[in-house]
Amino acid sequence: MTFVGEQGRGPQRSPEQTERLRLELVEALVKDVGADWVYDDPAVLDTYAWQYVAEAATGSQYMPRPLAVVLPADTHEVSAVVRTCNRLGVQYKAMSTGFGMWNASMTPDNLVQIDLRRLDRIVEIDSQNMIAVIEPYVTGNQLQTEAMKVGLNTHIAGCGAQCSSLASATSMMGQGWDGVSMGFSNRNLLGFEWVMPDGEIVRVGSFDASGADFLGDGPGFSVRGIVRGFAGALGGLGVFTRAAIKLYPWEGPSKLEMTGTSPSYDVRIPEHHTAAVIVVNDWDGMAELGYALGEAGITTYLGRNAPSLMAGVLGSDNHEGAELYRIPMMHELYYSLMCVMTARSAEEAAWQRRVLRKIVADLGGGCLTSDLSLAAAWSFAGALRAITRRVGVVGMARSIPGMLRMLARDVRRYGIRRVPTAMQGLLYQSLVRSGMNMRGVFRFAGTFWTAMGSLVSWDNAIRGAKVGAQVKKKYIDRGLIVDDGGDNAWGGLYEGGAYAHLEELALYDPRDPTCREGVLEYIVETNLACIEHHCGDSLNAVGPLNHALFSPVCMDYDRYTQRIKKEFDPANAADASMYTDPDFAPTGNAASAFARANADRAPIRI
Amino acid sequence: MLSNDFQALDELRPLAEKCPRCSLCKFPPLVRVEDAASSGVCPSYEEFKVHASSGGGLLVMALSLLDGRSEVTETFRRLVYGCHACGACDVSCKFSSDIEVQETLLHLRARVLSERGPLPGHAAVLDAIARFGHPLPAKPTPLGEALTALDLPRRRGAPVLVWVGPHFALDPDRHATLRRSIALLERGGLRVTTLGADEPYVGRAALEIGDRHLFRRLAIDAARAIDASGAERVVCLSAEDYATLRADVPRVASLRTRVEHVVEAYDALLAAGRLVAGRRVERSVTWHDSSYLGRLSEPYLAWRGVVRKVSGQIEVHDPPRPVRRGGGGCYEPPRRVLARIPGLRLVEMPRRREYAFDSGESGQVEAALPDFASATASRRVAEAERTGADLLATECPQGHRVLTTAAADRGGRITVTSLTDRLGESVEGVAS
Repeated sequence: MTFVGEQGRGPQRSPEQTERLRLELVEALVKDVGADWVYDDPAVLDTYAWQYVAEAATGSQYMPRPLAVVLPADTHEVSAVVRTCNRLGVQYKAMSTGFGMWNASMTPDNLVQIDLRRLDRIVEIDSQNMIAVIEPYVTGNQLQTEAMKVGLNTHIAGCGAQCSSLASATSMMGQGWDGVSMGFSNRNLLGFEWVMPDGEIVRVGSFDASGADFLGDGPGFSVRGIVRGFAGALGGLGVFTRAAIKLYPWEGPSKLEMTGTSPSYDVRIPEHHTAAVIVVNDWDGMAELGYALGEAGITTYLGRNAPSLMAGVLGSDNHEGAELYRIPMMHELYYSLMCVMTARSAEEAAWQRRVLRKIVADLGGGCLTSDLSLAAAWSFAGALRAITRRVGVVGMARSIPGMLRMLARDVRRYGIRRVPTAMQGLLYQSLVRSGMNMRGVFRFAGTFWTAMGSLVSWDNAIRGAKVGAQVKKKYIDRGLIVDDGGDNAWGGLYEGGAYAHLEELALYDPRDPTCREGVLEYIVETNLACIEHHCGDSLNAVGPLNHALFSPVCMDYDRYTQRIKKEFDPANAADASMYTDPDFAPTGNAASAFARANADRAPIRI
Repeated sequence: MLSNDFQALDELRPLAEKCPRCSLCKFPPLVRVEDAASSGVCPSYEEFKVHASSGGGLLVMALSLLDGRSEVTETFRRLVYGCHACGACDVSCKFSSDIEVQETLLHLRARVLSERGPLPGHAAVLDAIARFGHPLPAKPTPLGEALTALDLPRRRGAPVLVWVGPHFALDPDRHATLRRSIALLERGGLRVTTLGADEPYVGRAALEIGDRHLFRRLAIDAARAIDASGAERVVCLSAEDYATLRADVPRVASLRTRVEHVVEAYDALLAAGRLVAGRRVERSVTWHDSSYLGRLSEPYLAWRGVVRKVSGQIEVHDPPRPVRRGGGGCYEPPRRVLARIPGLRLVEMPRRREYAFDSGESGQVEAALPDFASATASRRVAEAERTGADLLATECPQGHRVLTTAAADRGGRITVTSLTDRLGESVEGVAS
């Protein structure tokens, strides 16, 4: 069984016909973009076929190979490539930084991979109107560093600061640490340049008299909603070559002060900023905490890392990470959120810290912050009390050797003066630069896949975390995924807590076929649980097979996306393997896989 | 049983297969990025832009070959050698992983060489090693002859062996700096010697081209020559030799003598007050961390052990496997030396230390793809220019040469210099 749909559907061509097509295609593409920017060497094509979670789609770490890879220089060359594909009857798919199997096709030898690497300019940062106009290969990191120079900041998706901001804004989901203050990727898209499936170039969004972007929608119907909605079309509706992105105020320095050596960089937390790990007593406390922090409006970054992820981020290698995770007070740090508060003045920072301490004290918790005042120490004591309630005095005592080893390492790495805030510094880097996420999710086992995580209310997100943890237990017991105690819910709150998400990660070894199969089962089972327990759809609900599962219980949404696809792309030129397939019908294989998962469901108690 | 001394491409497969295609290899460690203009760390990805030219892409090319999915075509070979093997991708990847990107690339080159032979420029390099004992085909003089002609000090029983290397010995433009280095060491009271015609080539080019048998032979000869000298320590003038002797020779030969770079010797002499930089040098300078002096010189860390899984699927090495992450290169000594020169003001480039951008000198690119080497050097000079510094300092002879050319091509807005020359200017009696 594959996960997103059936592999191998597409034109039936003999190998000879395929080679003839490839030659004709390459010749045409060379005319479009020049010989230096077209590749059809098998090994080069394999570098595009190799993708994160390809195993979920194909059972191997390779996706099907494209026919050719092309790197256009600008929008007009993109349009020419798209027209060539239409003319020759092959599909195309664009990628920017290209992280994930949705950048590829499920159909072998029928795709032109358009690599947008050469479109890499920050066209403009309009600091007065807080808008950046960017091309596809501009990363979150690049945009953020330039925005900070003019007192602004940008939303960065959880996939990391090395990923394309445009791809997330136009074509993907886009959860991130900064959601509480900067929203979700689709909320920040103010306009875009779009090479439609047939090659026509259109600009979408509203523009003022000078031609500058200022609003993503209207007047009229929402094109933004059509081309992306919640999850984006994942390349299935053409190519986006430019986007206007909303920026936000940055109450910090124009450049972060970093020191140290890999893998232990140290950041000097700006004077009026605060990084904090907040601890409460249970999931109910977590729910209250999230809403209270959202309502208070004091956090710029706010989210949750499960204890296993936190250990992975804090440890500089697997040994350290695993050792940290074994420390009882770390292992049981379930009910915690992490935040960064940014202020422009000492008075504002002091107010934020007071509000934070008050909120957590009212919930019977506490926090470890980068603020080293007496009041902060008292709050830290509250955090220790909350952890003690969870692990007991014996558990705290058993934590001491591990904590001492961690402190000794910190002394060696950062110097004794930095020890009290070393962990908060790592936390600050992790949240503000979104630069350490890969450590948490890839290093322990090799890779991860995610489940659940719909945008819902914070209560419901927590409910989903509880459901996910129970489903996961079965796969942990079978030794197929990292034993994270069942809990590996990553996520946070958006736009002041108006909505939220917690996705349930499963870390596994992508090289082990048994693990791969097991994780697929886990995904199917969590998706079934999402439906049964009203947790919304799932972040992994890409591709026709998943739409066939979720659409009937979600207002038949796929019927409408299929109509959009047909209307905008009647020739089905843009590969929609991960988007929607108007002709998709689940096979017996898929039905039996669902039946198998259904027959062996983990018991769930809410 | 696993080892850090990888013998073949196949041994690296389990690590390469963990590549999630996240693209971290293309950028400096994300938390260290300072601006968009300096946000790429991989010279080949900056130049060729296709994923196959990045560290992650080359890992997958190797896997594709191992999996029998592809063969070594001309495009394959060009991409594998269209890379400086500067190790920047390795540093960035290892911020979050233990994947051996650099090791995989060097073993992939060996495989490509055995299947398809060398590129014409590299064939000339290998031929020069065979005929002249050095890797510079444009200099058809035997290395021993060139070293003899320099008439450098040879003192029996001297504790400090100065290792000259072909890039100093055969480049007349670097001879003044070479002599200044020796003058500074002697001024600091060190009793130095050289091996003259008996100094062999350490074999870096063979390693980078992929002729690992040749490298092994040259490395063993170099280690024997050093140990036979009886010196207490060897001070390398060339960053390339320093990196090779610290990180690569110990894998194939026993080397008992301590290896230093000349900037480390300057640093120690200045700290001890045995060398005094007294004259003011009223300039601003930015320091180029050469890949050889920096990340590639991090010492080899021997290890043998096994892989275990804990907590279900967390992969750990038993005993813990030491991983070279680039931080063990020579970064502080040159900065301390520059800081001791009165009047000289150090301005840092955004890409520095273990995540410095290469200057076009490494990986035998210049021999086979000179335009690419020039483009890399030009990018590095542009970054240096953006700091506003007057001087771009390095202590790598090849880097000095390619950067000087690039700076001139860009209009001469910045002057490329060597740390030795600026220190010599400041130390009484050494300037000439």
